Amino acid sequence: MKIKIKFFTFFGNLCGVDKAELYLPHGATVKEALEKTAQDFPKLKKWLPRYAWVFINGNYVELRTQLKNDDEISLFPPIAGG
Amino acid sequence: MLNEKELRRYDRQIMIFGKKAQEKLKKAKVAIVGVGGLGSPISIYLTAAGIGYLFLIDEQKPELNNLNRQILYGEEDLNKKEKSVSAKEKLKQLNSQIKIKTYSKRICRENIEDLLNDVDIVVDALDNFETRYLLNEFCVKGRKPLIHAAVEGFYGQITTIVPGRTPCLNCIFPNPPKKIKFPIIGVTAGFFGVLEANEVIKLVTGYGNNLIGKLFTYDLFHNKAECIDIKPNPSCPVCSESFGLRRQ
Repeated sequence: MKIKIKFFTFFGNLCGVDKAELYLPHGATVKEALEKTAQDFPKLKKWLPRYAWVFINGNYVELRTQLKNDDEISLFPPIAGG
Repeated sequence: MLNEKELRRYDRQIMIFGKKAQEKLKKAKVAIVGVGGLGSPISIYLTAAGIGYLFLIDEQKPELNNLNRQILYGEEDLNKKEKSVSAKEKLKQLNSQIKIKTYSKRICRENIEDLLNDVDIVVDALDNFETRYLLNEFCVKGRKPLIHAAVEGFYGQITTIVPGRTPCLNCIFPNPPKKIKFPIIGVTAGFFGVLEANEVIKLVTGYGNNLIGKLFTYDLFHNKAECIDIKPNPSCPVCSESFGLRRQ
């Protein structure tokens, strides 16, 4: 299945692109998608899969969440400064 | 009622939203939790705009490595008074008519209710998620709006949380980031602090659109804005009950 992934703030800067497409087996989880993303974009390895905020269609999702074909993942670096 | 001097002072913004909105600002009680990189511009712009009562909470004293972004403080303030106290002195010079209360100890579970019970809006200008979650729990329970922002480097995020209407902070970010010494440049904190002050002004006056159910991010490095819709988590341990109550 095809998954879209959108990189926010400095994740986009690190990847050099704003978005990407992943091809994963049916039933793949968010964790598997993020592991594949880290393989494709090694500069994200420091954060993925654990240290990122992940949304699908506006809902925060856990790593175990199963993906559906054409889901779009929004990937945010966790930032806390003030 | 606004007096003659206030009508003159706020003339240019009364042209935007009218006298009644300015009176609402005068009556508003706003807590700013953290008076650092975000808290400096928030407090300056809310003081300038005529918010009637500001409550500044910060237990730290200004340090040299704060001065690249915490624009309320200068070299003469280093390691002297707590930020909340020093900030009050500066803000009083800007607008002597604003009531400003300070608290120079750490906000915690034991004191949060006593401290924040009387305010209308809470502004998150913190640098850690531990205390942010505490503010969030309090605001959900007390049905008080919470303006959230966080910054790092040239990047930041902001949303306005209205309990019962929007996802709470725990719905959006249930897992805290790693505690690190984060890089930051003053313009990023300034930009997001101004956005937080703007959210307060719009929320109080009812003029304009707030970031309700929206997470706005801005990349100051590439001048790129993004805004995504965010939804409440039906099983959120902090706010799902408040949604249940709302629907009854």
